[in-house]
Amino acid sequence: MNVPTPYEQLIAAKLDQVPVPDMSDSIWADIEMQLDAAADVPAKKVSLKYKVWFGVAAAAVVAALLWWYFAHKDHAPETPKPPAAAPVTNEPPAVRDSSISISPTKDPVIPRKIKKAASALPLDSVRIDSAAATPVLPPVKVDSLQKHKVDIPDVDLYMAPVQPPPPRGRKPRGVKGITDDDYKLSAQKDSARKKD
Amino acid sequence: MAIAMRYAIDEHEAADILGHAFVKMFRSIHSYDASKGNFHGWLKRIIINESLDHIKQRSRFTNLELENAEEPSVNNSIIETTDAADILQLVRQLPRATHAVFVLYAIDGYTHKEIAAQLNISEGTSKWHLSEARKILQQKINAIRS
Repeated sequence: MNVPTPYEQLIAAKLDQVPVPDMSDSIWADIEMQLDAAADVPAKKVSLKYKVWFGVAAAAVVAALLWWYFAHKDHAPETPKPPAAAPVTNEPPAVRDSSISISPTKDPVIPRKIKKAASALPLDSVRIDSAAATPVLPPVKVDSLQKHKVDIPDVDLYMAPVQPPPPRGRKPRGVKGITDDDYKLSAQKDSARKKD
Repeated sequence: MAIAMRYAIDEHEAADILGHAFVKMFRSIHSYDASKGNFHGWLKRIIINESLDHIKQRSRFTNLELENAEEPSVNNSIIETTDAADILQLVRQLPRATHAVFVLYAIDGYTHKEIAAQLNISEGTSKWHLSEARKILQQKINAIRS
């Protein structure tokens, strides 16, 4: 078993006589192609390596930018809100018999302190808008019970309608308190005096 | 080319084996040591290793153990009178694993121990494949005679 038999030696001798086909050209072309492919592999690896590094660097930059953005977003001061327009209070209809008289005027409202009537107002109901610096008053309610018990002196309470503040950038024209009617001249009167 | 032809099943596979073997040879030419053997022997070993890699990729080696087997009786005159190409065709008709073991043992002179190491099989398996190859070849050669 461990020694080749005589016929196996004959077969080996016969196989050495087998004619070899002439395929040298195709074999060399195959060898050349494999060697060229092998030469291209390191270049591809290098480019892939650089691609990986560029990708990692880009990811790091993006992460740093995101971190910076969120870190500064939390500590950034809040932008002041534009002052809201002063709300217009709903006035109750004026009653002649009431001690409270509301005279309509177009002058800017200056809040006044109401001596006794103000005490009837709950403090919680008065809200002051710090941004607008104008008090926001709820509609005035007349306490009927208190009215009967305590003598409330007549107080001129001016509750003028609150007008929205003039738009910024525009200055009021003319002198305060002088209207166009004050400048009307009557030429006839003056001419009569001169004649007298 | 003749070495690759023994292990391959046709000329194209032999050319493929030879091409790969030459590429390996060019890549590992720096490892060639002239003091360990001549260049022809080194190149022959590369071609055989490449041939066995091809066979291992395309076939499985049956793990069967065989310690002793009867030697087949073959009329040598039949082999002598038969054409070399026909003999090669007979050998190529063997199963791939059996074919490889037969060529390694009977033609290239490897021992069962070396074959077992080359093909990652046991010596018993190598012997079984050789026995199978001998049986099949005996039948085929006797068929030619009849």
